[in-house]
Parts: sequence; structure tokens; C-alpha cells
Amino acid sequence: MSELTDQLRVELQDREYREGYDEALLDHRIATQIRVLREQRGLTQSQLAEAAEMKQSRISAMEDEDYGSWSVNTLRRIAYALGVRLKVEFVEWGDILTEVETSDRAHLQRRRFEDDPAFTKDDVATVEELETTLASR
Amino acid sequence: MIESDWKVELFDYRDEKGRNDVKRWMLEQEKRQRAQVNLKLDMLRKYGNDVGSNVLLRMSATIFKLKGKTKGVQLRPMLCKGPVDDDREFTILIGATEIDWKLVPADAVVRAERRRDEIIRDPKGRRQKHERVD
Repeated sequence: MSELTDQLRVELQDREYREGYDEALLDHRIATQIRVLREQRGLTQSQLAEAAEMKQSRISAMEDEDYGSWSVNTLRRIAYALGVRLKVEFVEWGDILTEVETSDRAHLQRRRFEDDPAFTKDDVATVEELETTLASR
Repeated sequence: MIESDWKVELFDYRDEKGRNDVKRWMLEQEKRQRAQVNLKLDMLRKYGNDVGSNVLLRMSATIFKLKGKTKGVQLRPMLCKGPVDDDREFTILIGATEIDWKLVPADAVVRAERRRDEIIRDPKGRRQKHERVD
């Protein structure tokens, strides 16, 4: 366990403090992940804006954690333009410790649908073969 | 302390009487806002000049302000890289707030530059390791 995690386990006992910390973390991770995913795909802000049917200035604003006015619909459009899906869910507070420890570039990167091994052609063929085998029994 | 936790080391400006002016300023702020500043400083320390620097906005050749939402009163401490080791250190120079894009104090960037110069002249006397205020 890191020194920071140890520190947060104490500091986040206070409700007001942990809600403030969480709010800033969410803003930071959304803004940073949009930039990281765009850079992972070698896209400029203009290219991502075109793919998401938005203005470049809007992408620029959303990569800035000052923005803080995210909407699920807009984030979903950006997600699809980046070849990933958006996941919004309610989680327990303990997750915040993991998120703080995994906010580096490597942990924020995601594969596009085309590169996702769950959907590669070989695996799809295997599933089809399995279904055929099961159906023939 | 596990130094390997951090990519960059954080320092606070110390005034001519040896007092931690950054800590004094943080103690005057609301708890929720202190938490938001601490998250940004944690990202900066932990992830350094790559994704960590997303929390900073350049204000002059040497001074950066900490980002945050633009509505209401926001805490905008001013930092510089180094100034002893620009690759592995940041120093918080002065506490400032921002209301509708206006900084308080209005000359926070100039004051921060002045304090940076003081640290360059006396790095041991005019700064200390960052003191976290939760």
C-alpha cells in the first residue's frame, strides 16, 4: 500500500473532505482520459471533433478539468468517436483509492473496438464453432 | 516516507521569518476546497509532467496556477517548476483565489515570480518540504 493510500484512508473519513476530493478526481480523470485516448489514437483535437460531430473548441474545453460541466450524452458521443464505450455506475467509496493509484497514462488508455480481443475475428470464429458444436448435440 | 511514491517533490514557500506561508493560507480555506487542491497536488506529485501536469495552467514564463472549476470562489495557488531542479520539483509560491476569472490578489503572478527569485537566491532558507493540510 502506498503512502498516499494510507493518508487518504484517514483523510477521507471526513464526509465534506472526501466529497470535495472525489469531485476533483472525477473532473481530473474525465478530462485527462479524453486527452490520453485521443493521443493514443494519434488524433488531433480537430480530428476527434470531426468524428464526434462537435467543434474543436468543445473538445479543447472538455480536455480541461476546469470544464466540469460534463453530460452523459456528450461523453457518450466522444466515447463512440474514440472507439470505446462510456460506463457510468454508482460505486463504493473504497474504489477511490484504486482510482487515485491508477490515474497514470497506461491505466487510462483503452483499446478501440477493432483491437479488442473479445471481438477479434479468431475469437468470434471460435464462438461460432462452439455454438455449431452445441447445436449439433 | 516512501519517496518512490512520487514522481516530483513538492515544496512550500517560506517567508523571511521562516513561516510556511502556503500552509497558513491553506488553513484559512474551506475543507471541501482544501480537498480539491490536495487531489490536484496529489496528481501532480504522483504522475509528474505527463498526465499530472493537466492540473496546471501556465500564467507566465515560469509561473503556473492550479486549475479548478470556474464557478464561484476558486483556490488558485501559484506554483513554479523547481526552481532548483525543474524536472523533479514543484514549489507552491503563493495562495490565491479567483472569482469570475479575477485573481485575488490581483498581482499574484508578479508576487509569485518575486518569491521564486527569493528561493533561487536562498533555496534552503526560503522553502521547505510541502506540508499537507487536510
